[in-house]
Amino acid sequence: MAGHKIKLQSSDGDTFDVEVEIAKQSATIKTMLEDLGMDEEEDVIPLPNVNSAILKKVIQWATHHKDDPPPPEDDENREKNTNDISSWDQDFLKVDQGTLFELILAANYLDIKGLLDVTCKTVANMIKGKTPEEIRRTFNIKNDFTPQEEEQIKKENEWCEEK
Amino acid sequence: MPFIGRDWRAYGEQWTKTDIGSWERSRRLSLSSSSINSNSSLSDVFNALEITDSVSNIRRFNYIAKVVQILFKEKLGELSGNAQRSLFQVIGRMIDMVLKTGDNISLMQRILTQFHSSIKSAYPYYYYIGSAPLWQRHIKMLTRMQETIKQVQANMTETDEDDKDNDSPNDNKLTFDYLPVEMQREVVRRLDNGTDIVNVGMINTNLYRVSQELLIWRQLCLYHFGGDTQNSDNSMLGEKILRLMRKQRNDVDKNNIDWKTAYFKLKRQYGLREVYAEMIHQCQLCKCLYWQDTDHPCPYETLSPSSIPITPRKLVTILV
Repeated sequence: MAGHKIKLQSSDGDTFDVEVEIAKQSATIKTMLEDLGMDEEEDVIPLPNVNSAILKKVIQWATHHKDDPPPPEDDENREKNTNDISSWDQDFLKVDQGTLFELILAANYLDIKGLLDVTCKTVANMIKGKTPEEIRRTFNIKNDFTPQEEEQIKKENEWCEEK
Repeated sequence: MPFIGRDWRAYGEQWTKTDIGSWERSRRLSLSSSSINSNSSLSDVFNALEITDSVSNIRRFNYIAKVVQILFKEKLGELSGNAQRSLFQVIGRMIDMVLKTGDNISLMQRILTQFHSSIKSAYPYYYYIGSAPLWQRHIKMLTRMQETIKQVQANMTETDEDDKDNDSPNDNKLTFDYLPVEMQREVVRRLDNGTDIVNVGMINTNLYRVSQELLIWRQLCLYHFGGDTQNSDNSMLGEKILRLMRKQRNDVDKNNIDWKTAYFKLKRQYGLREVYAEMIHQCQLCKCLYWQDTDHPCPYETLSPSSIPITPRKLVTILV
């Protein structure tokens, strides 16, 4: 079985040869292969929501993690442990924000739990301990509250931080 | 007393190459309960555990930050000169790390302010050091560090404004704001502190809605106060949460709880759970201290290994 390859096609038309076992970390692809009974040798799987650059990154990630044990189901405790990112993943995710968010989208679309987890944790770490204004600056987000709304939310949350 | 060591027929020592090209033995540290105070100083332990180098590993950062905080808040008067030097070294490295990543800025600020004030409170007795010039040097060093951190924050603002002026080509790039709401929720769900979630909610209307979702707060409550019986099942809420609900008496309708209010109430009462990605462990056989992810050369390797995690507070008690 090892060495068996399938072709994945990105949104901009490039195809990538990937080992079946690696590609199957994506639950989406796994379902396609199993349920639709696609012929692994011949067919090309189109992935219209992922461009080449991102697909390349995803394949790189999946190749590195191909021997990982399956993650424990619904472990909410691990989810919040945002510092728990392996050093390889940390290096892998040293990318610009645009790429990081594209990776989140791709991980979601392809349904790769592990990748979704580390990318979301990386974003969560960029939020931690910052004031709303600092978060806005970090992500370049505009404030669309009216002054009244802002005042009200502040009031609403005031009691939270009383010691 | 005869020298007690490993059998001379055992495998040789392991040597590793250092950054500067020299060779050194892999350091290990054994703390048998009887010899803690006499044999190993805090700086030795810091060296052996590579605390200073570990700062750049985000899995270990928070653990070390906590140890450092406890040390200068409560143990400053008991630290030797050498130990204090290691402490400054570690803090210096932490600042480097913060500068590099831009994360944990406010934590670092808090640490520096606390450190500054605990050293300041030593005036004019210098009880922890015994010398005025050295005390002044410490104060100067800390003031400089605080300024560095302030500078970083200021820089962050400036570069961002520049971006806006240039009407950056980033505009068509995906930003956090434009992620589908399910993905934003995935990110918010990973925050383990209610304050962070509240802050996210104050960014804009879109994220405000995400931050108000009941399920997020419910999960957060269960995470911190649900106890070991954590379960996504409604019937298992944990003793702390149930007690709060009983106290409020009014409605013990389990399907209708204001989880956000509950979180902040419980937080005030119990404090938050402390979780570290990686902790220092102690081998139960040889009493060796080591980082969870690394191995330690145990002389009793034939026995089945067992180790216990050491909390930052416990580590400090062992060290000082």
